[in-house]
Amino acid sequence: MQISEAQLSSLTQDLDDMHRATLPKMQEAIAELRSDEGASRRTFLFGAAGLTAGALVVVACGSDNNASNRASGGIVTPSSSSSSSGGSGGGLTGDLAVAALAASLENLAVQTYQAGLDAAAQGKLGMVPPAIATFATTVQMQHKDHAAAWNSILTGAGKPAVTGVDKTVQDAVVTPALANVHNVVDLAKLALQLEDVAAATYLNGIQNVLQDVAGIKVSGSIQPVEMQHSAVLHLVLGDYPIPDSFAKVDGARTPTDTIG
Amino acid sequence: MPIDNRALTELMEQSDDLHSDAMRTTKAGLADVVEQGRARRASGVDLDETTTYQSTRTDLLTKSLAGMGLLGVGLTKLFASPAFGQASMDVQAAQTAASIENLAIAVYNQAAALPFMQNIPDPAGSTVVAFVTKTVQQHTDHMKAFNAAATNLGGTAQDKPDQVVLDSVVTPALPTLQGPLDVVKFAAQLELVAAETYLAEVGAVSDKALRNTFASIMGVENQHRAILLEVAALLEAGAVQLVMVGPPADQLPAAAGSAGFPDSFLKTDQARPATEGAVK
Repeated sequence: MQISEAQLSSLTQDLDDMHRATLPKMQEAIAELRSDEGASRRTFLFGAAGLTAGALVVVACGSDNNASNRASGGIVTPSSSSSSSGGSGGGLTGDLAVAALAASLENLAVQTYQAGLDAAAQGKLGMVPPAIATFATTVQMQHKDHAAAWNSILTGAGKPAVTGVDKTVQDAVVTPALANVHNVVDLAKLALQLEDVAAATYLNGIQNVLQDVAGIKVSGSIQPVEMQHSAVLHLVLGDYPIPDSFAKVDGARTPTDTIG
Repeated sequence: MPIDNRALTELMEQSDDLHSDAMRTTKAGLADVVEQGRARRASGVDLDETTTYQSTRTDLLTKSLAGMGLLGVGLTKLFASPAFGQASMDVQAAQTAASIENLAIAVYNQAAALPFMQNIPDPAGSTVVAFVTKTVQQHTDHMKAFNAAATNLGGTAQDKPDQVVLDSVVTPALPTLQGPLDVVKFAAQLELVAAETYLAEVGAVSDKALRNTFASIMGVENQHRAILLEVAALLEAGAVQLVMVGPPADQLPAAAGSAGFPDSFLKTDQARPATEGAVK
């Protein structure tokens, strides 16, 4: 059974309506997180006297080069070992640099799923089962919610929202892969990479980088959802859906990534 | 489409290899727990970091025990002291987590033994058996990790289930489970409780290594829930024949595309109290 462009549009509209219905809950959650920030002494460190993005990488990776390689997901870029100027979080420091990185990864996921949906609507992916279309539209909306949560923290701290994507991951992973996406299986494999990178980045943030409990809570509320996306993609692709007893930080991105 | 047992076996072997790799990582993480615990006991605690944690969790424990008439004035003061409360609360949070894992293991084993769970036609039947086996193993790994954290922080291991949830939720529910769909939904609810409890503790415990343990497990419980919700969606759609690893995507009902992840954010409204499963 193939899905038509009209069906896809209708489906997207339905899901958009459902999504809007959930927004008040999301806003409540963010408000709660903000109030937590206000109660925390660490709030003063949240983007104020915190570490630079470059220093955060040192803290995250320490002297363990293997850990550093794992955290960069094997993607080697000039900025991977550079100072804070290599990152593009608008000169942000501390946890705010992590928030900017997270928003850029979420924006990249939104953009990539949109590219897939556009290709599907144009018939470039062959048969697109309805369940796959539902998956892509729903997950895309959840990534929009995640980006909004991180941007809410940024704007709440008086910083501009991040509208760009993680260019480092886009150039190294997404753009080359999209050129070779010819069907939904190819798209699902690319999506799986992005979901795993996002989940690893959030876990790395909680375990090694974030200082403020508010940032830890935001990461903690999103990482398990990215892992759900990953499990369902594994299942559909024919892999055991929950291969590990413990989540890993392999492939985690750092604030040195370029945002653009 | 009949299940390919050879392929399933290969997948399980691959999964076991991944599991072994993960256990090596975990052992390294547990070594960190030991080191962190020693360092913390040697250098004291960062009270600024734990102020919020102290004010909520210590009050909870003190009021709870005082309410039961178990604490005299002296002991109440002792429990209220930051050093005691900080160490005690982290240990109790780890023990409670272990108790939730023990409960999950017991529920999966008990549910899998129900007659109607043993009569599910293949490929769903084999898939469910493989899932239960793997999930019980993963919960066992989690239980061991939490108990290692508890003992490394100076506490004792918790080998019993969360009695409150067992008495108030599981025991009343088990006789009402009439078929696979009921069992799958019930298991999904328990996984949600586990994931939310661990998320709450990620934001509450003061020991970094313990926090890292919670963080590395909460997402896995949420993955269990995702797969259970997917299976529930297929059962509700009358598509039991699609319950398999690698289902034919073109036959899946549209709802299966989003059933596994109903919310954009994991919440904490169903988290269990940190002291609930502590060793008494």
